[in-house]
Amino acid sequence: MNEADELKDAPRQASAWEAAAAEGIDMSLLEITLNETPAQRIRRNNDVVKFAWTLRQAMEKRDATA
Amino acid sequence: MQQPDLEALINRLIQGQVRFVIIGGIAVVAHGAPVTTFDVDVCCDLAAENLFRLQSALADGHPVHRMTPQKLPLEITPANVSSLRNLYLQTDFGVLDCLGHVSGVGDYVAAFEQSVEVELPGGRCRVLTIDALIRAKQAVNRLQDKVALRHLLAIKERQNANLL
Repeated sequence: MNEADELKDAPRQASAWEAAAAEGIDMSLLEITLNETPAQRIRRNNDVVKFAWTLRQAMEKRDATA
Repeated sequence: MQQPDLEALINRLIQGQVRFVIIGGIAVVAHGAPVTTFDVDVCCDLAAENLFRLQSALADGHPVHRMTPQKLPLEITPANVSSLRNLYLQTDFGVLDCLGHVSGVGDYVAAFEQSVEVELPGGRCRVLTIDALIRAKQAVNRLQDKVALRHLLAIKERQNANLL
């Protein structure tokens, strides 16, 4: 078997993209964020952190009055 | 405790002309990974003058050492400045970790050399390159970094494909 045949028959290594998808990572979310600028991504993270804080405050208030 | 504002925290550092490179979760986010991080990690120049700038920049955020049981206020003085290596802070804007060294990357100079400039609404700052970030994540190999690493490797692959 020559070198070309060996390469043809070798099992194809999964790409990093395929490996991530195979482990259950939602790659459609990555497609969305890759269309944003770094500043937009950092702003989105900040918005999520703020919202999470607001939600936690609301949950604590609810638990206190329950 | 007030609502965190990590952008305001980064802006304080930019406006205060602190020499720093964004590493950690915010750098992962900046490179495009759809993850959320609740703190800001930076690699800082540990020169005395830079640490005094850091202290001034954060002053109105009431920084405290969050790892100390008494949450001692950040007090950088001429007597203690040369002994500081890492600062794990809680501020009114959120959590800020200032590291003098990044595993897999090196000190501030090495981090700066392996960083890119990013334009934010509050000004320009430096963010670790995706290659350096991948090395840093591989070096620490924590459970929480594995998903970020998967994303970063996929982004890097996409970038390489777009360059062909």
